[in-house]
Amino acid sequence: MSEHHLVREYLSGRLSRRAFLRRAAAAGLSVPAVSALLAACGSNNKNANTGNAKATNAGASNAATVAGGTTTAGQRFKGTVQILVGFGTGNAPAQIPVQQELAEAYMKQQPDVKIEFVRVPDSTAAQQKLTVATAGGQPPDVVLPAGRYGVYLFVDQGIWQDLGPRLAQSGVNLDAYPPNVLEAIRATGYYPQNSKAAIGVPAGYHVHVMAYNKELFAKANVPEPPHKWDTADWTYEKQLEYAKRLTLDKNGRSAADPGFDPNNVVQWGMGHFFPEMFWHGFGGRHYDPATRKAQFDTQESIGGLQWASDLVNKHHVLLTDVLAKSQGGGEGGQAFLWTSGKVAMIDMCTCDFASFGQAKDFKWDIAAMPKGPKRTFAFLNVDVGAIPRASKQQDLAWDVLRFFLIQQPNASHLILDSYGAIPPEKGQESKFAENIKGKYPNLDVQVILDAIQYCSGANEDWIPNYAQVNQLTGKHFDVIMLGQAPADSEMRKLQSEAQAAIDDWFKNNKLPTA
Amino acid sequence: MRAVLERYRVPRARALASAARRWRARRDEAIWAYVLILPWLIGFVGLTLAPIVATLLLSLTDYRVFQPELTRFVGLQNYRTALVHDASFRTAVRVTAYYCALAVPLDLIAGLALALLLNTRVAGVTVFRTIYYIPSLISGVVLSLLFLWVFQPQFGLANALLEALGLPRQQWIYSTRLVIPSLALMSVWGVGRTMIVFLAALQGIPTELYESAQIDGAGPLAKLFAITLPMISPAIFFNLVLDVIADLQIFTAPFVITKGGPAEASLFYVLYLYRSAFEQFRMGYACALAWLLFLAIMVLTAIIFRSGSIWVYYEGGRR
Repeated sequence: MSEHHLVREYLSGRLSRRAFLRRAAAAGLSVPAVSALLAACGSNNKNANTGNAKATNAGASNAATVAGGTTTAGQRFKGTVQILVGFGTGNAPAQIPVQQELAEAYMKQQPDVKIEFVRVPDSTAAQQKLTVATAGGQPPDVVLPAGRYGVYLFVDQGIWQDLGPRLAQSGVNLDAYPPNVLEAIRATGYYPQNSKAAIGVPAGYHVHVMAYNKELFAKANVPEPPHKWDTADWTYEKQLEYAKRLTLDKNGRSAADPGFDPNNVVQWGMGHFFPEMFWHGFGGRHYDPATRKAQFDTQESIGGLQWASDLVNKHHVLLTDVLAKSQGGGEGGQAFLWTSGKVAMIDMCTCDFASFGQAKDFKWDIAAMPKGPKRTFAFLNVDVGAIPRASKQQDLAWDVLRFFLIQQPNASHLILDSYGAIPPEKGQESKFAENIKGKYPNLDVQVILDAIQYCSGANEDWIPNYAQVNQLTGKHFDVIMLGQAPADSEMRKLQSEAQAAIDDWFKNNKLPTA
Repeated sequence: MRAVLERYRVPRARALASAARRWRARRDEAIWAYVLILPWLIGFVGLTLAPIVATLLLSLTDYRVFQPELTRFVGLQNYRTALVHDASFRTAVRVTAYYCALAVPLDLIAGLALALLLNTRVAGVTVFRTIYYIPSLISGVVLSLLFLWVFQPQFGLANALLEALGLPRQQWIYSTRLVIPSLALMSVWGVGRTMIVFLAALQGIPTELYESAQIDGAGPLAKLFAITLPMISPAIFFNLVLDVIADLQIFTAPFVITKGGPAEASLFYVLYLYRSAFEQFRMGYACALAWLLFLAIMVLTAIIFRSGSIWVYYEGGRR
């Protein structure tokens, strides 16, 4: 990849900052040149001086559309608001102008307020920034956007302001959001089932669908997968059957043929599918809040992981991330092989159009995810905007968050045109579909519109000792997917370690009662 | 009698005055010395000593960075958890020890071999010395990104080299079996620092020793083992201590390249410490891990120092 090409990719937003740095270094771009291009990050300088204004019911609801939006009626604020960007999307150069435009619109209405964006390259850096800044008494006032995982890491640290009362006070109609999107801000598991607590405001979501290479299907004489969700015979078994026929070795034999050489695969039936999808499809889950027990050693959990492992190690039809990286493209190995036409079916997030969507040399479309033995499961990625409890200007922070994420048309503008996500309010998803249809006229966008009811964020549900249990899960899943141990024994090990971590959490922490 | 006393009084008064002047000069010098080192002293106390003491105290608590008001004193519980209950701690210790066992000898042998080569009197040797030293100046992050591509199984240089030698391709950093050897191999990139110390030591060996050995009929190997190695043993000792300390604290390469994977096969100790602090927010536990590492380094260094009396030769000193 040439330097110019790299820079173009980065400026167009198709390449993340991290990927850009990595590739630039590999391409030999000088560090000063790269640094100059990427120089970002705000200062810690804050004139933290809140106005004495109280947040009031501004009468602005998420349904009220006011050109340019309004700040809280009649209230004058003063101070500097820092918005931390880096927990998820939002830092690609193409995404910044809309954020800046909204910030300027707000500052025009509140001339004594200054909005500063503190940009950090990735979620690891964002976690560290939030931790250190908060410990140092200089927390950001708003974190926007932040993925569910990043936000949940901090839930039991009591870091987030409960926005439930403010949402209620502002008359925000929460029924306007799909229930599975709303789950993300409820942090159910930590807060009780019927709690009105909200750790943030939805800032868009992404669904996962299955993208497939139409030409490889036609060439292998395999029928195309159904576009309608919950089609009775579109199951994991059927997907495996197709995948076998679509996986080829260097001699042109498919994985369904005798004499297939699994060590020299040149075309994969499946790529970029995560073991968690099969795990949940089989009915597996992390944790049961009622009994406070980890659920890794259930038959469903073991069955799902063994299925995922078999796709790699027994049937040789699933391209793993490790193998994809080793085949070229580094971190973007899966996208590289898909866009090179070497993979027939992939799990594709609607957030992946900038990478996987760049396939131009063959015809492709999107279809429904297959059904597991217990359920149809596809990932749901929800972003939220949140306010750290330690922010010294809660009212002002809320007013800014409301202006960005609740008031229309600001919210849709930000979510669609900057984050490239699906606006969370029901009915707004068609705008996203129209955008996609405009760019990819041959795609069946109805698959995306129908996906929301089958998508779930269960893989990121809150559990006690969240980071540690997730790290343990990653470790043991790796072992299973590498074929180093059967799911049965490894999941039991995971169960024991995860349960110890959960028990340890309960020794030192209590769940909130409301 | 008075005359006698007078004879002594004058010189004594002079001596006292002179002593007072000297004392004042020494006092002024001391004051200036303290004034001049004050910036460092403030930095040391505020930025090094105080945090060290703080981590020791925090290691005895379950310090919560976001809710400090809930912090409790837990005694030695963090240490007990690490040493008795924590499987990831054991993995981290095993991984780090394995890496040290590979990287330390590799660095010493490669550094010495290079130094021996660059100690010869051939044209342009200074240029080669510079060339071999420069890589050790490259930042760890840049180096890590570079080696991400060197170990890339499809297009990387490492596999290209294996293929050229007729050997099978490897998965390198993507393999649980090879990830640590790969990182140890990568550490050789910074061998310039070790080499420069060996080179300085080699140049300090008197040539008469080699001439005498030559007369006695010693071959190159005999010279190496009977003269060179004993004479540079203080440099070997110095490099060994530095390498052990540095390798036990390796962080950048696994953080950038492997993130501890695959399957925690490269979960190094300091990476685990970082995870405990900044991903799991177990600050007290992370402080305990830091102190355990410090103790391990201290014990290992003490063992190396104690063993030095057996194998390190100091000219004019004891063996």
